[in-house]
Amino acid sequence: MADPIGEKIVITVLSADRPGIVAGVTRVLADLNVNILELSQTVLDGVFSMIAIADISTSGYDFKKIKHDLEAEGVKLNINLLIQRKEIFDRMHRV
Amino acid sequence: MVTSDEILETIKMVKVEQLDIRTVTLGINLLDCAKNDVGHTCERITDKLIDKAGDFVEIVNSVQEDFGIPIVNKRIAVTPISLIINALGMPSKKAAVKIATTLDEAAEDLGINFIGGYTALVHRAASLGDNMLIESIPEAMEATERLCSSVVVASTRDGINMDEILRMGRIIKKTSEVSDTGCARLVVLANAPEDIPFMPGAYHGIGNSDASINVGISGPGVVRAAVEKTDGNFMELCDTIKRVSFKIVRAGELIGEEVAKRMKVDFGSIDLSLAPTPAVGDSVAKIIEDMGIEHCGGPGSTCALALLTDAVKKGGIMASSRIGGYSGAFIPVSEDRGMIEVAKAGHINIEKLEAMTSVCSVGLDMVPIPGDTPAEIIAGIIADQMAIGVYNNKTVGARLVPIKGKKEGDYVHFGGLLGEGSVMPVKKIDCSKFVKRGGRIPASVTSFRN
Repeated sequence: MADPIGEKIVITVLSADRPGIVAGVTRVLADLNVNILELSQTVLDGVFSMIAIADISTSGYDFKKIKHDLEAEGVKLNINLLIQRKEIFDRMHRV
Repeated sequence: MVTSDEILETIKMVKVEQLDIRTVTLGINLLDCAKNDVGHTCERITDKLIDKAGDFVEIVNSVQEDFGIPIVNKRIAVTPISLIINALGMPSKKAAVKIATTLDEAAEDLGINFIGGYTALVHRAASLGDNMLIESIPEAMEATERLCSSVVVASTRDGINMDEILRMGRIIKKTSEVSDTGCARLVVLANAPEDIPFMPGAYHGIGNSDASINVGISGPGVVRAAVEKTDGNFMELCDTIKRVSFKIVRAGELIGEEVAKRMKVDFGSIDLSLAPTPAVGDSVAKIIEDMGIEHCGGPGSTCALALLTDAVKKGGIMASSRIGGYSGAFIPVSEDRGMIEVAKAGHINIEKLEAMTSVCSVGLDMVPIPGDTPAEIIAGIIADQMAIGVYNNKTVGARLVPIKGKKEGDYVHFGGLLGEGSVMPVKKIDCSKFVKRGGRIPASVTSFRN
């Protein structure tokens, strides 16, 4: 099915800091052929946060499958991981 | 490009401050279902609801997954059923109840928690169908769990139908005697818009297309978090509320657009009303207290609610051109954690609530009152509420809930979103001569605008 509402997603990770989080998440994206457009991560007071904006149009998979695989990885890594379509942020924060 | 801070702000709104979309409501026209025979009519109603709403819940859930914003309720509003009853060959109370149970069963099958539109429009006078529907309300509410009913008894253009207000006093009392949640699913309205997404006032007005989506946003928790952080003066306070309102209305707009697109129906409007829940933090009363008033209901509360409602509207109107429905703030006594507390402590009474309704929307909402309150006094309270709406050109509703066998100060649990609370004292001052004068109070001078 053609994606009806844009192709960009935002992946947000919040977790205690430890090695392998970025590697784990980006490995899933690479396996699904999802292209990362922006990636930032910070550690503040031991809290790790990572935000990735990615384009899913290059992937042969739909949003549902990508969300499913990323959430499974989130469970494996024991991190808080959210996947949302980017439009919600654009709409809420831009006039 | 959105910044990391903006992304994290949105996530915090959802995860910590309880931002959600309170309801996505699908309005469905049932006029084409009305046939001579009530059995045939009910079959057609069921078929149409399944045809139009068969995949509604699934689609709303998929939109929720895509955007990561919780959508709490999926609801349906239908054409005022009094119009369907009017079209029957033999309109009767029994036929009305049969339609009521048909709607309730369809809602259950579709996974819908409330279905609205068991509605009569009697702001000028009652037709035969209106009479049958209104008289059937106690029995219809007793026989259903999901059905919501509304009766429009007044409008600025038409005046106040006092005969119907008196009748509703009796109907509310009778309903309270046969159904525990019946009165919580029943509202008396003035100046009712045709695009309300919130229950129990939602109905699919005849000015709408065959099916349309209306969205009710939420957000008391988000507004409260912003107000809590603001020590500034009133200009700064209002500006803070406006900014938050803009964001939550935008979220509602995107979700409404997307659901309507996937359902292939019209997108009607967004109701920006702040709708509290019994959840801790999701309270309009607490916003008022955070502005600097010790207890909601104390001096300053009406003013605080007025500035809150006004700032929410300003931010919302900037955010979307589809603002409709009630679009104010709700102050339901049993559904708002802060309100439950101040009512229990006696800091707020019906008279102060009534004053506050002059600057918000909906009105006396989910107010538990003693079960032995006479119908004439219930009618008197409704009349006061309707007057506030009619003479100030605004929508108001009264959802009074007499609690069978309970007296003032007793505690009652409705369960779920309907909440809990103390039975409020009602002044036992006789107004029966007034409410029984009969007829309609003429249209207000404020209606003559042509």
